[in-house]
Amino acid sequence: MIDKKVITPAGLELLLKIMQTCPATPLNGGEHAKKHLQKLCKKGGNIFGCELRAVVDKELLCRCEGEMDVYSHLLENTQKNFVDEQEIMEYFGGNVHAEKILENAQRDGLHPSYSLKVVYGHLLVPVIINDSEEKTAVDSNGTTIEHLLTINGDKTLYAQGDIVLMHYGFIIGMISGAKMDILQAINQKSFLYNDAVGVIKEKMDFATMHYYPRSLKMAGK
Amino acid sequence: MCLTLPKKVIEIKENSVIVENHIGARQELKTIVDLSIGDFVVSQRGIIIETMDRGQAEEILNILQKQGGAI
Repeated sequence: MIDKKVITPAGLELLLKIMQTCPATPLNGGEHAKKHLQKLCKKGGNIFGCELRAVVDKELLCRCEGEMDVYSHLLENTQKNFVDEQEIMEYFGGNVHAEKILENAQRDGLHPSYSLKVVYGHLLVPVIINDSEEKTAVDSNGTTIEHLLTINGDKTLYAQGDIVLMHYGFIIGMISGAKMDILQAINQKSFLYNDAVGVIKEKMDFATMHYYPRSLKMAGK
Repeated sequence: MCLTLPKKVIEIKENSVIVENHIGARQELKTIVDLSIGDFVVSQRGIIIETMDRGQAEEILNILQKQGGAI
């Protein structure tokens, strides 16, 4: 039944932006997911769950199990017959995603406090642009975010005061104030998000994160 | 899921590869790419899926060291 659930166009578009900024998808950091999700986006309309799951198997030497976990979770854990933006925000902004990241960070031997910074970096978080030239922003806790990147090819001129979505240190598009409130509520329900905010305190500088060199490459820099 | 941490190839066996991570822990992995000793690689669930440019790998390891990222 899960393969018959549909993903709405808005949900798919948000998922594509998130996967485009994830250096964890194999074979040149997100290129694979980007290519196939873009094809599905271009098709227009709702897509079936089986089409989404097929993305993971196409033209890959080694299937990304993590990516498959994300798609399966999205399809299996909604009571609705469709996955929309709300479901995507619930997953990437919430504790399920945070727990997986923390588990992986600890398995990789990262220090506990640094692991929490990694958790924050991976979560989908709304931020407000502070300085569009320097690509800095501020989150709902007053934390300054530095060294933000934009997706390769994104020509949007983000201005001071714009509310945007952030994932992995990338700005992935503007959102309304109402959606910001929804995502903030999702973030705040995650105890790991709250722990991470406690560790970061005043500033989150993405240039000090170990994935930044790879992110720079993905941003086309 | 974090495939951004480089591991260094220490030994190449007939059917597997020994790698070392940033804290000196060694692992035996399978590979789907051609490798040489000293290469930096990224792996997922026991399989090496990509080699990483030495410069980028060293940059990542330096960042981790500066941040006290390793246990």
